[in-house]
Amino acid sequence: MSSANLQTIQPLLPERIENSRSLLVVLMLMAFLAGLALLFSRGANRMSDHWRAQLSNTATVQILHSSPDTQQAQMQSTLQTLQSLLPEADIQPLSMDESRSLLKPWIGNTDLPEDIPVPGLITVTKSSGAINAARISAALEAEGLLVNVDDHSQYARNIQSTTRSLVGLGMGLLSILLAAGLAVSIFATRAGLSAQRDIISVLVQVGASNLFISKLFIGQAGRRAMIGAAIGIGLAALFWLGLSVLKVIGDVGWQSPQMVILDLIWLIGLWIIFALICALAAGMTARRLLARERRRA
Amino acid sequence: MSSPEAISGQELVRFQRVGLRYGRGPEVLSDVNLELPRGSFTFLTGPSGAGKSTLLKLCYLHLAPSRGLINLFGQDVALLSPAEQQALKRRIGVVLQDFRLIDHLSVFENVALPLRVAGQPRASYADDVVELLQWVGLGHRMQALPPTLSGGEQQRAAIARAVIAKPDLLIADEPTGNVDPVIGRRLIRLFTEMNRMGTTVLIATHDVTTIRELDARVLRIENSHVFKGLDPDKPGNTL
Ligand SMILES: Nc1ncnc2c1ncn2[C@@H]1O[C@H](COP(=O)(O)OP(=O)(O)OP(=O)(O)O)[C@@H](O)[C@H]1O
Ligand SMILES: [Mg+2]
Repeated sequence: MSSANLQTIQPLLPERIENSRSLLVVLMLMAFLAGLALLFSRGANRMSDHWRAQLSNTATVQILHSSPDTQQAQMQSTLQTLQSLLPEADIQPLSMDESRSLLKPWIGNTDLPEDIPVPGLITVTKSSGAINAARISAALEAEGLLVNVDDHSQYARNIQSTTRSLVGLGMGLLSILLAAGLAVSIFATRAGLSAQRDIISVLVQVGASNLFISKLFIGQAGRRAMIGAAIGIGLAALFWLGLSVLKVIGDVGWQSPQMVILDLIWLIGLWIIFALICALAAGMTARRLLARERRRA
Repeated sequence: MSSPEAISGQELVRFQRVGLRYGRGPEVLSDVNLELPRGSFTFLTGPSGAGKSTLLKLCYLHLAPSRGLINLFGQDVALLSPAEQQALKRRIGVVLQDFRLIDHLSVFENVALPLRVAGQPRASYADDVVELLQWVGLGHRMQALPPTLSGGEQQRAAIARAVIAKPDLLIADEPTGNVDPVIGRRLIRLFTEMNRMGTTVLIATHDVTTIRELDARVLRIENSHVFKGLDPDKPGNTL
């Protein structure tokens, strides 16, 4: 009965009502899955960017020589032309053995006969910026060299389109989960309005407006969603950390503290959006139902 | 909202040919004409099931009449928007027969509810609530939850809630039904004090002794009609 006690304001709607715990668990699970979907999308995107960056600044020049006798000479003049064309790039001819080993996946792990024709390969790596394959082949062809320049753009395009589908999938899942959060909140508000009918009728009697009562539901749903989503998203982050450490998800996982921090910021954003969606859905549902009830009365 | 005082004369409440039926049932109230002058103190009596609670519900906007006109604070209530109705309710204090306290809120919070709903800051009313609770004898039960109170204690909390916002109109349904005569007299005194300070009071009661003790207006419901004064046919009723 101390005046200190009187200073703490009790919430007008009870914190714990029927089913409020299962509701919290549902919200938690949805937030957990939404968090994973977000982390997965961001990880896939990051991995694709990384791979494509790596691919775009390397190219493989394949020398299409007619006979093993001229191969050495062709290799030399190709190297010279490349060096003058791209003075800042790292240009490495692959040894015969290395080239040979690249063929193994296609012809099996048997020792290749010495006389099988193996193309001469040169890798070109720029420290920054993409490599223009067309320019290289034009320059080499002008020198009379028959080459095939592969700047991996086909790969890069494949990676990009695959990643786009993956990210789209993740975002689709995320949207579905947020929509489910909305639906759960609407459902919970409907149930809450009838479960708390007595309280609401007292509030209406003492002159509370629909807006005032709706705000109570916004607060109730918002608090519930914030708690549920904080736990769910927190668990998603821990789960992701575990997967990353155990390398279950390979390059999609976290590889640097920077990634972790950026993703955590995104997760916090997701947390706020999740809670906002639930709170607003509750407020709008409450307002609509209260107005309908008032019309009926 | 326009100023209600500007519109009408002296009546705070006016019924004109009001009828009320529940659903498709018979009319519980028919052709009711009544006026509560501003600052009046009125008892409403009649046998059980006569329609006292029903008439009060019409006064505090819980029910809308099936027919007829109800004027509150000079305004035709049928023309009010929901928001305006709620604003009017904040000027009416109500004590219900079944108290209607909120179970998970302390007695203090229950009593402070009208002020909280009206958007007043806690610091502006905390002392008033404590003082009022002490006055109705609940000073030691301020932090208790309503389900742990006796019937009489709940009734006193409900009355405190009805009067805390100093309403213009106070409506009470059997407010002394659950308390001993000493407390009952004290509560009636609370109502007469409020009335002296300008609140219009309407109390439904069976308690003829209380009615006699106070020289107040009396309305009586009989056969779904409202009459003035106590029943003259019953011995001892001289009003
Ligand atoms: N919600 C309702 N639905 C249908 N009928 C109702 C409803 N409320 C009251 N009634 C009926 O209306 C009549 C008047 O009831 P009311 O509660 O107004 O009586 P009362 O005078 O307050 O009685 P009491 O002195 O016992 O409190 C009764 O016949 C009652 O059965
Ligand atoms: Mg009654």
